Amino acid sequence: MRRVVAILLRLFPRRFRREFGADLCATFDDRWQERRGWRLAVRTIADLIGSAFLLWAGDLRGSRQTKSTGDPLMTTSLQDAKFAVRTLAKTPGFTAVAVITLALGIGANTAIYSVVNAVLFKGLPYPNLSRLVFINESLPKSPYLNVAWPDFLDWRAQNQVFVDMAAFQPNSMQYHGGDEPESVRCGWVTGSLFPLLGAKPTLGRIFSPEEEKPGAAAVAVVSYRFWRNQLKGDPQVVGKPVGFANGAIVIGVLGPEFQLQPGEPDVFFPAGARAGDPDFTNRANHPGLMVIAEMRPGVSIGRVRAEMKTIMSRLAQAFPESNRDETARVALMTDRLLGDARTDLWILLGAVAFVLLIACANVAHLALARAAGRQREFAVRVAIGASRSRLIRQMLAESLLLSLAGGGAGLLMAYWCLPPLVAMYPATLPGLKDVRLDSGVLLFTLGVCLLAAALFGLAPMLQLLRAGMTTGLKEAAASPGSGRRIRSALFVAEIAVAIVLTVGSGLLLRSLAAALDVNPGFQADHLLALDVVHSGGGPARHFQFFQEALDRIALDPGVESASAAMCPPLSGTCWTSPYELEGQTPPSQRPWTALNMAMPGYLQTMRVPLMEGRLFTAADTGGSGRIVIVNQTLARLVWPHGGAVGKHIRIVYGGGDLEVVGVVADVKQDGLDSPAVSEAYVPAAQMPVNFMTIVVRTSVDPASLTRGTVAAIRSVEKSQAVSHIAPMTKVLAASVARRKFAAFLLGVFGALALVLSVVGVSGIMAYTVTQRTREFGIRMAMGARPGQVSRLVLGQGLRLTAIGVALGLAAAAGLTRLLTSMLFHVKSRDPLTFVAVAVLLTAAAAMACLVPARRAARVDPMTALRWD
Amino acid sequence: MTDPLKPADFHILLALLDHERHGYEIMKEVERESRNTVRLEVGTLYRILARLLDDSLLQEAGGDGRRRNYRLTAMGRRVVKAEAARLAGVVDRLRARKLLPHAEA
Repeated sequence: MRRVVAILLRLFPRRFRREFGADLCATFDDRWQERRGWRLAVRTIADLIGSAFLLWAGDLRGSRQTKSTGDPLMTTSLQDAKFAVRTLAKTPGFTAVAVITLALGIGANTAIYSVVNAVLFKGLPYPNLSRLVFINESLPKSPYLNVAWPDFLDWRAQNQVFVDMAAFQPNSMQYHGGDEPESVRCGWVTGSLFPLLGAKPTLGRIFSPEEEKPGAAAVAVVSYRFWRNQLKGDPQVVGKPVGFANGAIVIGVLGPEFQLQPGEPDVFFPAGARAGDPDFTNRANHPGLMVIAEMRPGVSIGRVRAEMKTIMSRLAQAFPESNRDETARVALMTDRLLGDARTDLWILLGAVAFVLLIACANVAHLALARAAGRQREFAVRVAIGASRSRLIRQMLAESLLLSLAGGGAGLLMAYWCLPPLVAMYPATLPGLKDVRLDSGVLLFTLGVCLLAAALFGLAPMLQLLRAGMTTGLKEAAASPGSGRRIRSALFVAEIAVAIVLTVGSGLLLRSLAAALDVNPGFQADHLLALDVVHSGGGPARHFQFFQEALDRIALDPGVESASAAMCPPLSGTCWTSPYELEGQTPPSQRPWTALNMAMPGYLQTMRVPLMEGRLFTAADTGGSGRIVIVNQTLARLVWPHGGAVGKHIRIVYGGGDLEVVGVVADVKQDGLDSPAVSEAYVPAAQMPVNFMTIVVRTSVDPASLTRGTVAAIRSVEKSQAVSHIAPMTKVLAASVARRKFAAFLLGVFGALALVLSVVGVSGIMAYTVTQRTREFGIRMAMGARPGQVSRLVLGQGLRLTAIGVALGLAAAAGLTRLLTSMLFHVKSRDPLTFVAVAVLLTAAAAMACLVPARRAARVDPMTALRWD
Repeated sequence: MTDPLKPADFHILLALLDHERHGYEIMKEVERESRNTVRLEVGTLYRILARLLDDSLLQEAGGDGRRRNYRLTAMGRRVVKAEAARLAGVVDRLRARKLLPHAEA
């Protein structure tokens, strides 16, 4: 803290520092000894900054000679402000352009910052967020596996590094309490989850230890959202069975701020109640849990990883069947959940900072030109007794007023832009709950305003100081070269910054185009998809239900065909299994493949091209031979020399030994911009599942068949819930939403930067030409032709442009590396983008210089020479 | 010297009425005297000390090597008295208007 005080002391006038610095530090030491604490620290820091400011203000005022009644500082500040308003009102054109330019820059910053604020700072409202980790299991060939329940229990019992651990399994369940049956997101969780994430019930309570034991009566804790929407905010709901398929009674309602990421389930059941289920407690093949743990304070993630390694090797020895070679992966919750959003948002924030820089450069030039025009006014004021410091304060007041006005307009802009911005925000990134202009955002905006004022107010002030006030009267209109260097610097900077932004947005747009260009492996138009979870009855009944439902759906004349599969494209990998050829591979060495159960006609309905062999038919039943269709990636991996059809493969969780009957093209399972994974399709008739995505190929607009399709399903089973009904094209669009969001925004900012910099550059050139009018007149009087004069101007502009382009390309080459993770099929130093942007900007800058150059050529020598 | 003193200035002068003190003692004394209504942090304290020294209401009075002591000048003492008289006048007027209770005799 002492060092902080010493650093802050540098803010003080030197005379003061020399006289009182040491004594002040000594006094602070005494006080710190007695009152040590963050309160005192904050107060002292604020007080030191404020005092330094007041001292400087007092010095500028020339302090003790000009004592007036009242607080002199306040009176003069007020005077300054009033005067600033008057002078700005006198030049409405300048003021309007400056305010609009600043509003664009500050508004963009405010908008992006409010998203940053909502997502990164408030997106995960857990009290011990920085100490929360996710833990996965991992095999050499399969890095991300869910955790087995017994493994979780062993971790929890054996570790020394966690305050506590919690497990949850995201799932869905039918809810019949409303007008229509619906499928709600639920989670099977350990009771420890709630205290770990700081969740408290607003009604009722959370699970008791007895309720977490197998055989206990079914109970549920529901989210505030579920309570308010589905349960109509019933205050008496605790103790009632409200209509869950498992008959659970509600024992508690969580607070409104709680949300569990990922998935945001609405209903929580105790996972421990399933501990009697042999499937749930199987160490090898299990439904899989996600595990969250809170590290003890002071324990590093490195130590946690070491500890988990020890525990996992102990388990591998004790249970070689299931755990051999299995390790644990520990990742900070913030990295795992916010990592992607963090990359995107910091880059966008960087981009808007660049936009603001250009806006400031533009306003700086405007202010510079205006200050030059006002030299005579300043000179007069000095002559009649204004002090130099007073003039500086005057200019400061004007800059501040401008930037605050720009900030106010920017806030309005941000306010209008936020709803569409939020609507565009990809649903795959968590945390976007309430984006609003709260106090944090307002403070940020204020800071940006002050920074902007400092940035664009500096140049005219420097010029004023350098020009010297006394000479002003005599040479008010002369000195054509004054500020020329500053203007050239502004010119170059604008071009360079615009290059960086345009290159960045160019790279992202090219990546987006490349991602959209990817063949998803199926035909997405005229395809309706919906999720159905069937409950009740055994596996045979599930299959029968889906079969009947598909038959009924197909009766609609607008339907060409209908089918279903467990794992539709772009939904991530649902189920995986190890596989082998001969049955000799030790379990930990077996490669894994995605596994998909499909109804007959699924691949035809999706229009997935068949490469070899045949597709599933209705004749492939539970009674016929066990078969599989593999995708090209899997076929190439296992039979690199072809001839997959007719071979046998053992897919451990897919029914054992299977005969390959066909090879189909790869389908993008994870996302358009992810590589295709190996995948095996098994007939649902031979391995029935209770949850599938029904896909309907239509000859009409798929959205128009939504109601008919749901009705057809309900005609089979009246209370059947369906969810996620959407045309497949929407699903396709959602899979590139993150890419679109970043590319679109960076594109907008790039365009904004381009426009602002072209406007700025053309303004600078126009001003230069005006200043050199007399020189051009002389040149032409001496015999220079108009073409030569305009070439002179254009040459100067192009020289500066070339420097700007070179600097910008160099900076871009360094900075685009930050974009690497967001690029797809484009290198961060993609030559095409760099060249295209350089050409574009040079052309734009040349155009911007052309108008002033022509004007220079039209200078009439006689008028120019008379011009004063 | 007819302008009223600012409260913080007045409290600092008051704190030095009886004997010279160093910076931290002044802070504590001001807090005690004002019953915690005036709290000074180091920046404000030294900003005001600098001004009072400049106006010759205070002077430096040696120290223990680490810290410096400050004491009132004759002028400072006069200013405190004048301010006290002014405040007494204010109090009298307030009493006359029954905005303050009369002191118990």
